[in-house]
Amino acid sequence: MYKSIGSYLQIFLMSLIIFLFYVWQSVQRVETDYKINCLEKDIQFFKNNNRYLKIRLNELTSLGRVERIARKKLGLVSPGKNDVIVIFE
Amino acid sequence: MISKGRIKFVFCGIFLCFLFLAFRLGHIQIAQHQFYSEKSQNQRVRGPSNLPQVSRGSIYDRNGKELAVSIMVDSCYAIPYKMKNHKIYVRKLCSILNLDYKKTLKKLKSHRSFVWIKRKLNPEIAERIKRENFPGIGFIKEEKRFYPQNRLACQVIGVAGLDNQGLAGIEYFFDSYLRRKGKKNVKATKDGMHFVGCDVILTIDEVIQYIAEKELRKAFIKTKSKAATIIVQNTKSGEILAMANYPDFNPNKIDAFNIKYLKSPAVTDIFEPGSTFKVVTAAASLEEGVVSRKEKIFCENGKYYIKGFYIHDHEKEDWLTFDEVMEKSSNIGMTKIAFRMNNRDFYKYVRNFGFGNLTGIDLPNEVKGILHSPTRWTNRSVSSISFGQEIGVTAIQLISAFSCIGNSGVLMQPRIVKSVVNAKDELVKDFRLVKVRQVVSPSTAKMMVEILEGVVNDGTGREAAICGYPVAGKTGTAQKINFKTNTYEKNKYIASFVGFLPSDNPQITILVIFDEPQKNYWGGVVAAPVFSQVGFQVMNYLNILPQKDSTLVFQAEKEIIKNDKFKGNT
Repeated sequence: MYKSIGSYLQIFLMSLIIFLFYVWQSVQRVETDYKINCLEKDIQFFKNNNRYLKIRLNELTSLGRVERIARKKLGLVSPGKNDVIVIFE
Repeated sequence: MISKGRIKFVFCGIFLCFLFLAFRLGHIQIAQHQFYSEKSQNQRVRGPSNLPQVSRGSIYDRNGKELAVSIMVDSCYAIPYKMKNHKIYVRKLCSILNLDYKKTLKKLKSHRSFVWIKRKLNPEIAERIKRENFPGIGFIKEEKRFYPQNRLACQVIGVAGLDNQGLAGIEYFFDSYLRRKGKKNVKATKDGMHFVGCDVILTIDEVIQYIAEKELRKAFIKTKSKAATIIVQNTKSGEILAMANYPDFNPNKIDAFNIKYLKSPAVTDIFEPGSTFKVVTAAASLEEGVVSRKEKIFCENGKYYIKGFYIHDHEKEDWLTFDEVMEKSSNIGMTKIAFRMNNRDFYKYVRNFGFGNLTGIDLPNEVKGILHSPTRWTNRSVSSISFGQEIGVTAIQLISAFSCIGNSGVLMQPRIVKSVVNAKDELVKDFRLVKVRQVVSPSTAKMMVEILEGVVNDGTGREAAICGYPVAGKTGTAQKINFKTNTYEKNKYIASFVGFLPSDNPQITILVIFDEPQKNYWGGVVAAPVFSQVGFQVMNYLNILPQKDSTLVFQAEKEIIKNDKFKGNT
């Protein structure tokens, strides 16, 4: 009699542990999902930001701007037609 | 009493129902999983706060430099009923966004539940507003089109509207590709399916485009012209390396420019080419064998009466060889040569050079130009057409015809798009080189190159010469037509120069056109120097060295020995 109650109890406890493990891993999975979601949004944000910064870099290194700075701020001049020496082999 | 049989029957019925439901559930969950999953994701991504379903593809130059790109930015909206004491906020908001205070206030006082404040903000500005944390102000992500090079190649690239639809240029012509949905263009994100349109790769070279625009702009301002156009083309492949027009616009400021500047005049506007067209007449007559290069033609001392009308030359000339007729750009000499040809043959050559036909370039609203069939020609037509009057051409037709001479008489289709690729960098459409036809024989083309070299060395195109590089080209100065009176305007001209270099192995063809230049109107004075400036810089950029026996080398050597003046130059 007691033996059968004990074995029922063991089965019950095992089931409980399995059930609790199932609940725990479900909770963990949901939490991880949230984290992944947040990280994915962050990645998207940084990717977009990165893209925007690349565009700004493109703007700032555009040939027109570089030439303007070279001429006006740095006082550089482009070589004239006669300022070139070509060395032929 | 209910009989056991009935209970079994009901039980079996319920069991079968459950079995059917279990089967149906399995069918939906397993067999139709993909279908319902996509359906659900599509419903979720429809909301404005999610990513748009299609992200517009980018436009690149031939070296992969970004010319038009799209990124996600914030659009600012307001929910008026949530904004208490909104006058204080609105004043601040308007100062950040540079908006009219009264108009914004009026918008917010309306009884609408949702009001756009400003769409597609720059990220820095959006960040400033977010930091202020105004009540009732929110943000929605939208896609914004950026043109990182600002005005560069603006008329070629065109512009996309507020709702990401192409309005002009490549943006319009390739809109279906740039906004293309498809299995290969999909990017799966957490928010659902996100389509990325195809990218368009142009034949334009950013550096050559910049050089061309810079020099054209300088001359445009100096000559006080009404408009100006420049095209740089690869002589052998027909690829367009640069194409620019003035006045231009900044595509990043979509609400701040005149809509008429959106078109690309190089393909949409026609003009009488004037003397540059003599190349067609000369090539046709040489090919037909009606004239030889050494033959002398009497140019009537500048005034010639034929078939009831007078033809004038700008210089009084008597006897000129065929080469000299081209060098001095004699209308009378060219008329006499053209009259030796059969009308139909002459017309055939004009057509074969691509005039009166679409070139097929991938830009919107290209026009055919005006070329009447010989049945509609008057007594004057052969003469007029021989020196570029009574015919309407587009800039792209003219440069292609010149490239044909430089390409041993082979006419190539002008090409401005290299390829279209999808989000996975796979080729969607390839634009191959198209040989249209052999217009004149290679020997005739070679003779024409020598004649055109003479135009630059000894004729009207001397200003186009480039130290160290042999140049072949032709000047053009055409009076403009007044379409109201159908007569030529006295003080309105189109000055042009078109040529290719190095003429012994042509690499690039350049066409320069000025519409109504104010100070001087001769093509050889106004347009030829721009050709020379652009040609020299492009040769340097393409690493095409000057020729060994050029005076350039010796001049530079002398200079460097005399003084050390190059220090600090770049």
